[in-house]
Amino acid sequence: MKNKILLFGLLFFALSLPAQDLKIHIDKKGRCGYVDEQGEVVIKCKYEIAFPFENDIAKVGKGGKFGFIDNEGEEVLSIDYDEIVLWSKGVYRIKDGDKYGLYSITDGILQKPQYTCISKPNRYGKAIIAVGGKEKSGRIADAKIGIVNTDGTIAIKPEYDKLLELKPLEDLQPYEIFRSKEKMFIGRMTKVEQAVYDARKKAAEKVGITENAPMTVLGKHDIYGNGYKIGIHADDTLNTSVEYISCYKANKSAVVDKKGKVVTPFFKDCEFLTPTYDMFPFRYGTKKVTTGYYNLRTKKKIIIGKKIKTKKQVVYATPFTGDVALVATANADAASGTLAMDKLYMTYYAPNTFSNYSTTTVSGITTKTQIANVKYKYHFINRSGEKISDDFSGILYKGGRWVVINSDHTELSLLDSDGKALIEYGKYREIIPHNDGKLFTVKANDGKWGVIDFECNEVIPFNYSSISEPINGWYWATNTENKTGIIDVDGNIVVPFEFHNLFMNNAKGCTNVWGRKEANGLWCNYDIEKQEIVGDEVRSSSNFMDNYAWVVPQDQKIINDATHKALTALYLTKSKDSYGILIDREGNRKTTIPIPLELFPDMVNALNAHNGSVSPLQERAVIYKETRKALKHELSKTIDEEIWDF
Amino acid sequence: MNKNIIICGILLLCNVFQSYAQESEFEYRRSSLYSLLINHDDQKFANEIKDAFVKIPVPDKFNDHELSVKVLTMDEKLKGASKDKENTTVTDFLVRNNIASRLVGKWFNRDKFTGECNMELVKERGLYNASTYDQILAEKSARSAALLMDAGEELIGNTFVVVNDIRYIDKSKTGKALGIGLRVLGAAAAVATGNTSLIDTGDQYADMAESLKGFKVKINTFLYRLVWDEATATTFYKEQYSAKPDETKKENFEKARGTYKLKYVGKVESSGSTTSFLGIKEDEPIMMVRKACQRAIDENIASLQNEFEEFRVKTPLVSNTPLTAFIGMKEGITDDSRFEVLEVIENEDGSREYKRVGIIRPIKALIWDNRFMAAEEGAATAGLGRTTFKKESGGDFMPGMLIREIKK
Repeated sequence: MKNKILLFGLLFFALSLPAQDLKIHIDKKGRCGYVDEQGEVVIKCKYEIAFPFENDIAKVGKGGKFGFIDNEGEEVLSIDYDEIVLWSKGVYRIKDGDKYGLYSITDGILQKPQYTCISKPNRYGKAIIAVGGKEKSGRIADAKIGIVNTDGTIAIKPEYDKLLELKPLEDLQPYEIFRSKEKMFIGRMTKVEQAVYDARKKAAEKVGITENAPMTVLGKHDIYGNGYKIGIHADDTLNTSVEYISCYKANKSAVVDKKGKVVTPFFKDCEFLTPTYDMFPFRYGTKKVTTGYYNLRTKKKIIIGKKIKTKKQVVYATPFTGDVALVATANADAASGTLAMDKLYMTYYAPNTFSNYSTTTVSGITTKTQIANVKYKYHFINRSGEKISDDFSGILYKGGRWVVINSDHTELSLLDSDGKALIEYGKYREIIPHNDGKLFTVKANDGKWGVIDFECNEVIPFNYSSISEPINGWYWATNTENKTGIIDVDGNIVVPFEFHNLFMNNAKGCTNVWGRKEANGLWCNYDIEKQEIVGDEVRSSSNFMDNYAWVVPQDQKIINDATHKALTALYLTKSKDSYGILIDREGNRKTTIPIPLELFPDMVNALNAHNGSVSPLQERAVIYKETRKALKHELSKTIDEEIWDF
Repeated sequence: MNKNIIICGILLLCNVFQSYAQESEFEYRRSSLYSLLINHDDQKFANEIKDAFVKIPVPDKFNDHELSVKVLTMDEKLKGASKDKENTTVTDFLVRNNIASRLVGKWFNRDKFTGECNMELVKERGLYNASTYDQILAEKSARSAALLMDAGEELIGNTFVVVNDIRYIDKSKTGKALGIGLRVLGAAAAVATGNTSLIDTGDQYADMAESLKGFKVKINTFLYRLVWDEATATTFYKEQYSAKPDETKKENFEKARGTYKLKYVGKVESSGSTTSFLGIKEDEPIMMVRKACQRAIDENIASLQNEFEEFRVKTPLVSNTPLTAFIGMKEGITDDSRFEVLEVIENEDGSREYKRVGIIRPIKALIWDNRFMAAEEGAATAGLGRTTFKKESGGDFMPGMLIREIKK
């Protein structure tokens, strides 16, 4: 019995042991091999370099070449390769001479080394491959390019001069027109194109336009977009999942699907946009531009603007939203003399106002929206290209609904995604879609505001002189007695209408709002859960961050003493209301040294790091560190004592 | 029956603990470092260099002893920067601004408004047993003195200042010629595309297309060490240190600021070699500035350690089969590097000694490339995670023993 238990224990012990990991061992001659955990040599020391085992194989090197061995020392990939680099999960990029291939731990060689470049895969599992070409300035130029999947299969054969990624569908706004700034080319660039890029970049910088785009893989550049580069590089990555991609042979392009099938004809000098509902917007030509769609289902080309001189007029083909698409037509001088109109402006138009801007004030916040230029016209077309609506002078799309202005600029309506009217023209004076597109804040003809839903049913009654966009399900609104409060999406009162001003923290789960009862009065902290004002009134405040707010207490005095001056002398403002302390949600004071608002986040971090309590020394440490570290001081001068923390 | 099961269980547990011990990190005492930048406003990329420098962290082999001043400016070249001897402009700044006294103040968390001090930082960095430390100090005995001397020698006296004079190496000699070429091409491009807006840009003078690829800097790094001898320490503890607000002691320290000294140790200059653009994202080319600066600064720190023994860092062995440590090319390790292995002996009074127990050297192909952005660059040994060594002499080494480079 005892022996059985002992045996069982030993067996359990043995089974519980971790797998025998082989460790790298170096012999006296500096050669590498592997030993087991007991130190016994398992693989002889015959390699110049050895890497740890992963997934039962290890990379080893000898004579400047690399390969893989298994845990018995057998070569699973012969030691013949100049380079082996992990490329994606379980797949390595191997290099033989100047050619690259792909090797899988489980499936062996996926692609023989025959490619002049294999780039990094992107998060969608796609990478660029190239054959032919030659190196120019560290990049491979004039190659034929294709796409490879991370499992090593070829998605698009490398037979194209250029590839153009189309903007991902999820990023596409249906009302966005032909935005050349989303174009990303992969391919070669000529000297002229390089010059174009450089000139445009300079012009963009001059007007303060900064490039803020995903990594370019050889981009055709317009005034907003990314730059061209000659050739491709192993560091380049695609940006999309390559559902469709525009491929070029010489100066002709067509759209290819993710399996490499050419789905549209090749057009000369053509640019495509991302297809929607099997409709591929395109345009081609330079001085005279033809705009239209390629209908994948009928395999027909639909022209909506033919050989239009760009100096005179521009026609924009927007992506289909179902069975309809919006077409916009503008005269060439409609937008400040430039032809690259890359955005339709949202507009709604208050009747009888003929300025270029419409101004609205909602809950104290004034917004200005640019009116669609009177020279723009919009209409809908169907999948055959036929016009199926009247002209509009202004239009906005949001999440399945169109807000439109009639051609006289006098009345608004709301249409569904197929262009059908949901309400009669003129029912509302203003219609503002919410960000989620599911609700609309609207102004009735009597000037009162309410909220309607997607089907135009009333959600919040028309009782308010203003209503905000909802923040985390709450609106702040002003009633007809000019008092402000907060209501929820069902119209229930969250904060009573007792305030002259209210400011709501837009963080989710906000439980405190700042309000003041009189214009120019003090601010109080209204606790929504407790339904009461907590703490003292203050002269000024910030919204709560974590559990703290920055406030200027009523009794705050900035006596220009050495301590305070030393700490905060860097701030130019001398106003006592520019310095505040931190309080918690109950109104308890958490710091003692008044600081400028700019230091609020750093002090919150300090409080969080010290469990909600900091000493004056710790406060000073934060102030010194954050206010001084990036300041410059002249080497030849003596620095003011107030700058130093010690 | 029960005994046998228990034995098996213990054996199992022992096995588990043993397999983890080799990979744990070890605490050890580090030198403390304060670094400054001399930024040249007369140069291109001065702001970018400043921004990059401020973000560079204190190397992980040092304690952070930064003060609230990091960036010094001048609008001309630093005279004598390339010479090996002490630079009077730099030294003059350090003296004039009482840097040494401020480093001392930081050691004791000295509140400059009240003069209050404490030993918290000393305890933390000295790895002293916090519960017995105060007790021993309060004794005011020979043990207390030994403890303070240990802190002085090992910690406060191992405080260094590095002043980095960074200059950008400007390659743009041919801007004008290219600008003229661009103008012509710009006009041609406008005709080809029909976009008349190009003609405007074509008429402007076009600077050479600036690229951050090949961004190069040259850095002269000056090394100073805080002087903390017996006389300095005695005066400080007796006349200036106070655990409570004390106006007299506060004033004593303020008046004595000029008596604290930094000793010039030496100077090195970076190689100015080109740093590869590999690994830099296209939409973040400014990272190239950081990469070039950080690489050059790391190179200089490694050179200073090679040149000046007092600046060399110790780092622990983290395993003994094979011998490995978290140190690599960033610290200047090459095939020729040799390291002494030190056993740490802790005395009863809390002080420490180091005894050499052997020599090791790195294995050529297994030197970890831990330089900044080495992994992004695709460096061959970036993935190693540690450097592997082989024993040259000595007995058995254990994880936790410290290694320190011997001069090449």
